[in-house]
Amino acid sequence: MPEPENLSGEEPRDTKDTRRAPGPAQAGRIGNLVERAREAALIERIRRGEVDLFEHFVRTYQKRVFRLVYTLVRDASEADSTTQDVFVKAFKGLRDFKGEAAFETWITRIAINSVRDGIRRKKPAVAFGDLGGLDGGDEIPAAFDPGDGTSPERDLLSREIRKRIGLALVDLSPRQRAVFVMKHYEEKSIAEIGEVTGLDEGTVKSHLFRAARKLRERLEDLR
Amino acid sequence: MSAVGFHGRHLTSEEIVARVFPVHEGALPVPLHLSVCPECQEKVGRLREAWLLDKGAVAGVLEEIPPGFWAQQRQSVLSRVQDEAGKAAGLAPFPLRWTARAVRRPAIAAASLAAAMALVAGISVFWPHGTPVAPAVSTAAAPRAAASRDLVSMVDVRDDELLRGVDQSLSEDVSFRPLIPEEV
Repeated sequence: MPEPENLSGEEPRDTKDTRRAPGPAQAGRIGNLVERAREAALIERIRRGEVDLFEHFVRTYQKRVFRLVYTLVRDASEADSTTQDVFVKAFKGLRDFKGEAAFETWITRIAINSVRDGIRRKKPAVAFGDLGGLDGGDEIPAAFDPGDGTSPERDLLSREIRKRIGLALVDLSPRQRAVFVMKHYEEKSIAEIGEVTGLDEGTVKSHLFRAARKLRERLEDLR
Repeated sequence: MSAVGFHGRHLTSEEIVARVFPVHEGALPVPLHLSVCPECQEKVGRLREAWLLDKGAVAGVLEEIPPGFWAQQRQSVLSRVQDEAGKAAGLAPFPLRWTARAVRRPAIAAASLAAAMALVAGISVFWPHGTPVAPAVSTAAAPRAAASRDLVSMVDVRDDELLRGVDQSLSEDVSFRPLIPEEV
């Protein structure tokens, strides 16, 4: 069968419709939207009494919440109890969850606030505990351990600097610490941090700047 | 000749920290001096290394957590969630719920109690003690009953007069006599 003549005078299009093949970024956005819609439906069912469905949220986010809380408090036991509290608070607050932000953003906000409250209660005790065994007692994956192929002095210095980083974080206000950890440990963007903390981008940057200054002060004598 | 001499000053500690922990997003332009000064490169490298060490330690802690921990944590959370759902559904017995509310909001509980007591006291003081109920009702209805009695008696009087008039007419007027039955 002969091909129909091109009467429009336009360049013939590729037979493959590119509009229907989203790129990775667009596919990611669509995936997020689908996931948000799914979660919104689940939340509605939980509100109506299907409490067991809350397990989906615990299963999906418990590691992320624990990691964030642990990075902030550096105490596994405290991170565990705070993580549990975060989910219970989230469940109790589901009625108020309007779905304007993603559930992940919302629960991260609860986690940050819970850690902040915990830190405030414990002051002036060092909330970082023993800073995750910064003196070298904790296990470090080989890929991250600068001890391999480096001199003992350099290894010692790295550990000392790491300790100073931890101490600098202890000096920060809970909000500054949260912002710093989200930026440099969780690798969140400024906009994402702003969404979680409810701060505008300028304030987030201001917190990051102050954290960096605190760190510089802590490291001054090592130079 | 040193790197400082050819390519400006060494990086300040602030600049070194800013290279590892930048406030702004995106890659920072590398200062010319840093690209040629081993001393500054060493300082930036050490700080970055220490930070990665710390980051790696956190990751290491998480990797070492056994899977059973997550299951146990989940179980614990879900158990607490079930408790909360039970409380929200009001499964707690009434006195327990009331007590819980009173404990949560003692001011409101005390005010409610005081208001209830004032209401009871007011009712008991102003309640009309010993006043007979029935006479009050009959007193109100009495004039109507009396009026009705008067009206009935007047009608009877008129009827009697009319009947008497008819009898009289019948006995006096001769022309009506054939119309009266014999028994009458």
